[in-house]
Amino acid sequence: MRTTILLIVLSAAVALAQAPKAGVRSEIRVFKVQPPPPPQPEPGDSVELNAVTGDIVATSHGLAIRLPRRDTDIAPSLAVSYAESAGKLNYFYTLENQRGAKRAISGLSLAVPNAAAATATVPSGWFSIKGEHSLGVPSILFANKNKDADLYAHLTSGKSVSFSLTSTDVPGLVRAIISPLEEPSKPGELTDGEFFDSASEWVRQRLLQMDTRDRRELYTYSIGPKQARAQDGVAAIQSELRAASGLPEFREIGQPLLQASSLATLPAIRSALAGMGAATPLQRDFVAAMNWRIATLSK
Amino acid sequence: MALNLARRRAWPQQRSRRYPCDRKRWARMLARFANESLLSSKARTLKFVVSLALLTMPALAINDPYVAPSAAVQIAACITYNGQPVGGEQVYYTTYVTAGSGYHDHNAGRPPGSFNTPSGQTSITVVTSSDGCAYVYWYAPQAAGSHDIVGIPAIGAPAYLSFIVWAFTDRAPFVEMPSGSDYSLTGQTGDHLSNHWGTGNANARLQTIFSQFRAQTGAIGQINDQSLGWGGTFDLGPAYASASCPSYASQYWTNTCNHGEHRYGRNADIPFAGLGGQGPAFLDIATRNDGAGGGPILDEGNHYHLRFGS
Repeated sequence: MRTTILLIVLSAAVALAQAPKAGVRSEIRVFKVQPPPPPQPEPGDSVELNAVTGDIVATSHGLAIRLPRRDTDIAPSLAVSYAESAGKLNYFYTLENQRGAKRAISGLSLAVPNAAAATATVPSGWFSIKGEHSLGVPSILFANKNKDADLYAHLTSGKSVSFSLTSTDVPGLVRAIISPLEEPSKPGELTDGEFFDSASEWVRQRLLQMDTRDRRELYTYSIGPKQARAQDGVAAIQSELRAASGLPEFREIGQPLLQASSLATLPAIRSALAGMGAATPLQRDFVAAMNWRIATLSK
Repeated sequence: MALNLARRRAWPQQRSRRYPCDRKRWARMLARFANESLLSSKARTLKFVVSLALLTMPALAINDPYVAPSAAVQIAACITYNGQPVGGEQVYYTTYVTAGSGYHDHNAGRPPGSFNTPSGQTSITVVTSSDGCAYVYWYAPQAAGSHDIVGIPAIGAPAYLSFIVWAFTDRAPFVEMPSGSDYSLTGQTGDHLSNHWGTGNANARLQTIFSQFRAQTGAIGQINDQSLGWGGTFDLGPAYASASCPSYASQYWTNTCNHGEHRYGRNADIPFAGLGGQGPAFLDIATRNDGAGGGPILDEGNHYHLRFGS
């Protein structure tokens, strides 16, 4: 107790002696804030894209990994047809993973503007979900729900599967995303996640920049329920033609499509489409869909 | 512990961005000084004296207290005498971190920030320039938390400054993932009692993913670690070392290994064990719901690492 009192008295005396002098003022000011510096490569870091195979090969902290392109491992063919029945359109899709594909297909997503009003039908072992797809627009997902171990049940090389959609909307060009099957890692195998965790910050950022979504999924187009029938007309068809004319998938007929989009009447557009010489199945399907709409509007 | 957690959650929201002198905070400072057990006796005496001096005339800097992990802030204790700058005077700076802050429930070896380099000293003496200011850079650590910097001038009163290091300086704070019937929240440990914080988008997407997954497969999945409440480093420590993440790299308070990306509220770990062997279906559903919006979904050997776009 005596020691405590002595300590307090002594400390108070020292404190008074150290107390600020009159007129002296001190304060801490903040001058500038610098964000964290960008990461720098560490010795042994490397992230390279193989121009021939499209694989990304990365090394960091003594580990190495090869990240293959998934979208070129599958060989999909997506066929579509449609027929009108009782005021509605039934769209039939056949998705085939052609022979020679190195990887199975696990799902197909169609960006259908009015997905909520469409009815999807799937075969056994598949399911459909309405919602947004990875591009953030309404879509319908068709996916396989077989177990990981039942790889044979997925859409492997040479197999095909059929779905259907029923909608009141008339056909147009819609985005299609086809997902390769992500096979489970083998025991003891270094996974992409384990490599990413162990890599330097610089390698992590490079991988995020380079291992883009379009390497992991196949982005293409198909024909699907696109346009509300009540709003269809010359302007809607002109808009479709203009949008398609700038896509790589329509490179061969891009210029004629653009010219056709400026024509003011349905017969003029139909004439232009007739002489277009569509080269690919998608181009032919698109021209056929536009002709179907023109014919329907002309009735 | 529950009370402790509740206080930590409420504090950052209750503190105004420009706050007045807080007597309770000064009392906490005094208590911390008194409890410093690793300091030399000379330093303890100095701090006791400083504590008493603080009671007489605290000079509190008013500043924007929020900085990002690993950011650098140039600060200076400035001394004037009758309004004129005093050059050539020494200022002793020290930096502290509040135990338990930033949703870290472990404190051993916790970096309090450093001066002049990212891994520099935690105390430093700087001499004032002709403008009366002793300039120094304070480097925020990688882990989120509440930090204090004390500047003790040779003359005049000590001054102090507080920074809150958190990951979302310019964005809305993270939201705690609510419990739900379509998933279970797992992975809480003694080091991090609360491990399911994310952006509003990430949390909403997770709920949609697990709702759709359950509807299609019947499986009720699990959500393991997302981010900590203030973001920043989500450190697992050497107990989680592996062949690809050896113990020297899997250390506390770093981003070098394991959970290196769980800093931004945009990631979630989904154990394979809760997916009923239907990983491909889960991946398709997660991908369609922005689960790969911030980069491809990663296979971590026993769980998927989802990366939402925002």
